[in-house]
Amino acid sequence: MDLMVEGVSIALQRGEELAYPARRISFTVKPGEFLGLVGESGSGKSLTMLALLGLESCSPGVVEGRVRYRSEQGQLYPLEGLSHYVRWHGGLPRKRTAAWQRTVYRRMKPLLGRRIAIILQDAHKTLNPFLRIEDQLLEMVARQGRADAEKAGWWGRWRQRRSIHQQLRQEALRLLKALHFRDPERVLRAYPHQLSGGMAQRVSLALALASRPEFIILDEPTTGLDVTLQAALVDLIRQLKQERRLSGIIVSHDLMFVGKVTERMAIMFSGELWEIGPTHNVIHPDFPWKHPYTSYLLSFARQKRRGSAGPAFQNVLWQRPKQGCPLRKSCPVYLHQLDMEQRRQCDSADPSPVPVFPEHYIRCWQYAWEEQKHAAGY
Amino acid sequence: MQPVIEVQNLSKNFTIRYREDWRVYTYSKQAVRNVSFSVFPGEILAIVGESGSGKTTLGKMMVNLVRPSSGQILLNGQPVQRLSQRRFQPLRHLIQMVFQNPYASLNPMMTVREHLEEALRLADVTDPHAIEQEIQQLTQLVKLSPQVLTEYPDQLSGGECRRVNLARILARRPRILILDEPVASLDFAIKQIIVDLLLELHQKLGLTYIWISHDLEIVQAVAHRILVMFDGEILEEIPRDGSRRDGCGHPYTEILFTAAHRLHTWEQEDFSTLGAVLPQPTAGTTMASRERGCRFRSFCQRYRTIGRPKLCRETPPRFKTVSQNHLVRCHFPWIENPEVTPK
Amino acid sequence: MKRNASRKTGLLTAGLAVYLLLVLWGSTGWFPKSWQQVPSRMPIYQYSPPSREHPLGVFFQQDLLITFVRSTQASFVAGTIALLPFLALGTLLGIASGLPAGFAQALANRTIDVLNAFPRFVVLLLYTGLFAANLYHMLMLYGLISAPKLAELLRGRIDQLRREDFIDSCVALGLPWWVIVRRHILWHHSRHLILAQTFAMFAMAIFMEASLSYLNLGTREHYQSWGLMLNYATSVSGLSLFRFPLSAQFNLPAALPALGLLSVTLLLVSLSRYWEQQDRLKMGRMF
Ligand SMILES: Nc1ncnc2c1ncn2[C@@H]1O[C@H](COP(=O)(O)OP(=O)(O)OP(=O)(O)O)[C@@H](O)[C@H]1O
Ligand code: SF4
Ligand SMILES: [Mg+2]
Repeated sequence: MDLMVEGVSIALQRGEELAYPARRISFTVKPGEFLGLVGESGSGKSLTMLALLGLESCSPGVVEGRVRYRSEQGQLYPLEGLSHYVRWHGGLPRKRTAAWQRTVYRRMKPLLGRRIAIILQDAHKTLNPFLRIEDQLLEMVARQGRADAEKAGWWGRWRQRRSIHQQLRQEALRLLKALHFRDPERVLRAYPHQLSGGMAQRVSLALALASRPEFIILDEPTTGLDVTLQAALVDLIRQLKQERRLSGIIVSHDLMFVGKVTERMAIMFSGELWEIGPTHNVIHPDFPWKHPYTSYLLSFARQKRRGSAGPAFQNVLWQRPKQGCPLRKSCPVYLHQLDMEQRRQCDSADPSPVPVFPEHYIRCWQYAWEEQKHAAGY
Repeated sequence: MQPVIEVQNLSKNFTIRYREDWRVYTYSKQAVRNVSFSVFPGEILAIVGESGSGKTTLGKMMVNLVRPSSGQILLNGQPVQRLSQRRFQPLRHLIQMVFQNPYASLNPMMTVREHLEEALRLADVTDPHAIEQEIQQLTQLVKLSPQVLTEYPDQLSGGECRRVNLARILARRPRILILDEPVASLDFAIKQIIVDLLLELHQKLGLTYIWISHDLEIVQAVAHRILVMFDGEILEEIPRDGSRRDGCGHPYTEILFTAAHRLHTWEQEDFSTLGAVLPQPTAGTTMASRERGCRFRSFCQRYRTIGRPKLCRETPPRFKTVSQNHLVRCHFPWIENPEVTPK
Repeated sequence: MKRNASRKTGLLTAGLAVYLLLVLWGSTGWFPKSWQQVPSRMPIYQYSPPSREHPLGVFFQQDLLITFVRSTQASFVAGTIALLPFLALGTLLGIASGLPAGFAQALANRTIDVLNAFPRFVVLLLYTGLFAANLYHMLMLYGLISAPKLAELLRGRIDQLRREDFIDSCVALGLPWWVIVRRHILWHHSRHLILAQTFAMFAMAIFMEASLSYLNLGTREHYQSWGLMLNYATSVSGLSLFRFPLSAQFNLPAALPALGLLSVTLLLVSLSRYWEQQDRLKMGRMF
């Protein structure tokens, strides 16, 4: 239902030493709400999502901060990979991969594939190439009705195997129809390599929805889909939100698509969140308070095609400056609008999130100054 | 002008076999139906269409990866649809294809340099010195930084991977390129860069492109002609300039434009109204049962608004020339109520 | 990390060098005069301890060191002889059975089944029984009838790879099929597999040779091998390798082949591990 992420940093093994590709990430996703995580490629969006769920293989993952997930029944699951360990021992475990993986996996086990579903970027890789879609999909569909099946006992299940199978098939067909497949029967019988790119994408979506998750994470869901299917996906997500109070996170670089389905939007760049707030405020061109990077993204979307939207922001994911705001080297506001005094402030310290609106935070010194002025009674 | 590719009545049937209760059943899917078009040298021909409409299959048939069920493909006037791989080999330097999934189309165990070397050796560059030079030139051509050469495909970013694919294929010096979704899944900035690169190559090397895509905006900006595909059929051929200025168009194209337009506005658009426009089969009807009449009619808004005319039910529509170079496969090609006019 | 890897390679190269030197030495057949002169009055079934003329002693009227060097060379020859037909037939069958359904594929598959159905050792015994055969022929035969092991692994690999996009893209680029099979499938995606099978076969061939010699099967002249050494060693009464509690009498003629076998196996294992590590480093997936 809801996911609470507080001050999370993520560590990766890069050759000999550890690198921290994502830092100080905080957000909450409330029941029935979607959060959009938007940014350029290479800004660490997918990585963050994978690490939050402990799926970033062979790397420590979350080493700082808290991640908690509350299920529909109100049960709290602490997911924070290793930060617990780091807090206690003041460092990472010596023994590498195996220990990390085990710790994280133990926490994720009751959630993944039952309460939380995740759709990865490459659809063809998520499907098993040697099984028909039917075999993969029915298995997932069967998960939701486990309780009834358990009650029937093995003899009951054996006697009713035909009708159970039929029910599962019907359910799977309904799911595929909801995803606008023309001939779901044929899709069920096909092997993954017999599907087109967009169809594989939709099948992996169906796989994720089949287990009736409460929380869903979509990584670039629109890549293979044409515009009508994108619109259909918008519709589907809205419907699921209303019917099942499904919540989730959408990771994408398509501002417009994300703007259509999410309530809140977070802008990520260089592994940090720069702005988080209600979607309408963040993407609306007339909303007065914006982070410089958000304006840059929006100018791209607004221009639609030709020309570039000013000089690009420099990605400092792997070489960040020692102090000051990491974006200042390429920030147009810093370069062209600020005076010397203000620049010195940007050089000296990293900005912290400033509320500019209820539940709308921006990490930029411009708004921090306004806040100070406001507090001083100007 | 002599067309470089001429496709005549091309069809492809896929069959899927499966076994249930000890009997073997087959499903047959006509992925491409009776498609005809021609491509002229130096042209950028775009093919747009919904997912699963047979765009990739069409492209693969043109490079002899999928054997057509019927119909003809003429490459420079020479029929190639029945050639074996070996016979087709001399034509491979003429036509090449860039695949949809850039990562999967490179060997994960080979470095970028090895990929390029292999392609160059095919193009009869054998001298190591010459290979080195050619690699330099290729990387410059696609604007790839030289340190990428020693990396493995899964270390590349999306944009780099596309460039590597392009460079590998350009090593064979093709005249015609089939680009299967060349910019899908790239983010805005890189998408722009790759499109610019492709256009620059088109200018510099005088290539002919068949640009398969579902991104209407980019396609409208770059293509000279657009073919709209739906369920294996070509429904409309739109010329670049007078596109829909004549007030005509196929209902499916209208859906595409409406959806694209609505997706790209700032407002929290309500799509439930679009639900009727989306190609949803109405209850009980499938495409397969539509042998007579217009195959699109169960999805067709126009058919419903003009009162389900008998013409649509009985006769399959032919291509109608509504203005110069603008062909529509519909009995009633006039747009009643154009909500959006592109550009 | 780096030092660790180099130390492993150092050991590996040292071991390999020693083994290959022994093999080379054996194949030149040159030994010091004093080693070759054996006191003829010595009884056959007696092991005389090391002396200045004979560094490891004399056994069966021969210098033990000479015997050891010769039998090391024999082990190498045996491994290689069994290996070549194994690799050739295995790859051929593997590729053929990975082809799209057709005559060649069916033929390859049935061949694999037939070869799998024969008990291997029994076939070897039958062969000697029927033809009174040479040891080398038997080893070759052994290599041939073990080929399905490799072929089946290759078939699985090819089946898996055929659905990959990059094979399609290679075809579209215009690579001929044998290049795709050779470079993309065999070299880049199956080389560990082939390598591992090679080692297994090498080891199995040495074992086979030792057992066949121990059983005194196969005809040969002036032949030394670890199996024969063991055979003679066990025929010396009162000496055994593992006596409990360990006594002063230590059966050197039996220990030498044991040591040799052990070191060869270790060498092969570490070589394959080294390759594996190299490949993982290459792919950037060390951890
Ligand atoms: N090898 C195959 N065997 C059976 N059916 C296939 C095969 N390849 C493709 N198809 C079917 O042919 C149809 C067209 O597929 P194609 O890949 O050409 O679609 P597409 O237009 O490229 O769609 P997308 O935009 O999603 O990539 C699909 O319905 C697909 O299921
Ligand atoms: S012919 Fe009729 S049913 Fe077909 S697209 Fe045109 S209006 Fe619709
Ligand atoms: Mg496709």
